[in-house]
Amino acid sequence: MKTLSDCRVLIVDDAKANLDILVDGLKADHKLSVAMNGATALEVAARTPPDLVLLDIVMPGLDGYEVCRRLRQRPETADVPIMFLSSLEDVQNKTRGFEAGANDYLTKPFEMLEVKARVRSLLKAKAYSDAVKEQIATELRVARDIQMGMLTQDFTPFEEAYGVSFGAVLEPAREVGGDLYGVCAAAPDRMVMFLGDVSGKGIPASMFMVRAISLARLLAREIAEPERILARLNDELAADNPSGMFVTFLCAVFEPRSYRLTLANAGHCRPVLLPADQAPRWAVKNLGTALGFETGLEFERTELMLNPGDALILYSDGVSEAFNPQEQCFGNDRLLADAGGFAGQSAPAITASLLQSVREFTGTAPQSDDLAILTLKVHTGDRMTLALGATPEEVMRGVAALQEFATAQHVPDKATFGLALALEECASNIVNHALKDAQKTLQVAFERTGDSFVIELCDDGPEFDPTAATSLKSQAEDDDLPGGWGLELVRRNVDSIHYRREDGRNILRLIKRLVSASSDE
Amino acid sequence: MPLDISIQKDISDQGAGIITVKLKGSLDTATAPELAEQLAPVLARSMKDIVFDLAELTFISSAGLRVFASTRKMLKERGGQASFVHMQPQIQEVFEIMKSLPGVAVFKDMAELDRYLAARQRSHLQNE
Repeated sequence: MKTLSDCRVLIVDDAKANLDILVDGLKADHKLSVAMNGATALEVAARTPPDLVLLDIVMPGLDGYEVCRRLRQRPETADVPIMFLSSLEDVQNKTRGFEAGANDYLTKPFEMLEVKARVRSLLKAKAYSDAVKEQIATELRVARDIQMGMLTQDFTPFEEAYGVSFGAVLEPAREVGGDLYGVCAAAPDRMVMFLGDVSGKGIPASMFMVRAISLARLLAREIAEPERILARLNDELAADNPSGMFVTFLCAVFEPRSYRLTLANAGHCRPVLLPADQAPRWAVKNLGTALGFETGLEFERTELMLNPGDALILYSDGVSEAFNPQEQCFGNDRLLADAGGFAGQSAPAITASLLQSVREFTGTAPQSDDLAILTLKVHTGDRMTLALGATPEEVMRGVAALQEFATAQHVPDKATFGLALALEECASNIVNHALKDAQKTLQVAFERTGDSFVIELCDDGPEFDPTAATSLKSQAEDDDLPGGWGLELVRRNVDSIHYRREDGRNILRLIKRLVSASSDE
Repeated sequence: MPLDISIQKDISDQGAGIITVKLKGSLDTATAPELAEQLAPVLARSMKDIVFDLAELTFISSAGLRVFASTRKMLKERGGQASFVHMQPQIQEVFEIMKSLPGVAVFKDMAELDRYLAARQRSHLQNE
């Protein structure tokens, strides 16, 4: 804290005699700046912000009232104590002085002792209020760190475990706020993500936020269905909630093996679904009721597919209800339209792009509400292609590559085995029957798209349809099955087989649906 | 995905003359010919029973099944059979296709197989 002798007093008076008296009286106790008119006073105050201003009223040019008002408008002197020293004795003049923002008013002629006493008193009061503000600011900074620490910061473990990527941002309008988000690894095939917005802002909202996020993280691990997570969370929050606060809350459960996304909404802004190859749309239809009002509420459940390349954007109304200086609202239409431009971007890039859209829209308008964005994007099922020589060893090299690829794509072991078997049978058939010349190559491609896995085999050998029963010279052992054991095993392990002859090439596509495969595990 | 083949002859009283073939790895289009090749000299002798221990077999395709099928055909013609033990679930599913062929017997474990073979041994002796 500054000592009184370190404090700088700015003395403003157009009469040199007055200035001299004041300078003489105060120079032993404080640092001093002087100005003989209003314009100079404002310049000096801007250059060297004073701790107190002694201000004459009647001056040529800017009068004292105007100087006082302008000092109050500047952030660096908005709180500085200002005392008028004036020969105007009317109560109207005094009142006008206080209305202009003064802290004190002393009429001329004055006693120097009284000036000194009032200056000391004003400086002490200012120092005390500064100290309190500083303490609150320090505590708020710590509170902010604690609050930010409760949000999921490192998404790497989720990204590796679930084949997804995340982008997130949370910006409270004040030091602390009521927006929250989180991601939980609930089970090997179940990831929970949520985003909420507590009513109000600042410290009250932040306290309720801490309660909501702590409960949500626990419940997300315990309960599989998002609508039941919300129901339990609501019961807990509503049970002891004397201040009547509430939180809007969106909970989504993603199962990466089936790409199933289940959502439930408690009065929150509807998330944006950004499919890889379609226009963005709302992921849920209804808003539902916010959490905390009363116990025993039920919540609607929405199920959809979040396929590779698709993204889901959760956000708070700090995005959709951001205002620009013309008091226009960002709005849902603009949000959907802008989201269309984010297709193909990564999750962090989508998050940053949306934040930038909001910032560009709001321009110089101050941030009016807490703002949060959490984006989930499912990794694209990369297509893998390789060229195999026409030998059994090369066929098995392809099978090994498929197993590695399918495992990396989170295809269940049992389905991977079936796919490997189907590829082995088809490829060895082609190698043994169509490509007897070992110089030829067999092109194979694997692709996971949504809920199915596709194997494509392509060769430029003579026309050969392995699905035709007569195409395979059945061995004596497998006479009982048309097409032999090989084709039968393919049929048993994939859902459909398609052969076509195109541009002198044999193209065989095997498609296995993974949803049904995982449900009968 | 290689295939390890280990062929052992059981010389104990109970299992006299029984050949056990342990397979480890992948029995597929690339490795099946090798198994057929290694079995040929064994089958050239006049033995009746072969036991395939599949505990460590992780992959099988129709190429592998055909080696089993032709083996059991030769054994069956001599009044013997091919027995299979310790099949992993995914192997069992592929094996379904030939399970019901005559001359094929599937056993859960060695104890079940031993009981069966002991009973067979007794019936052979009685017949002689």
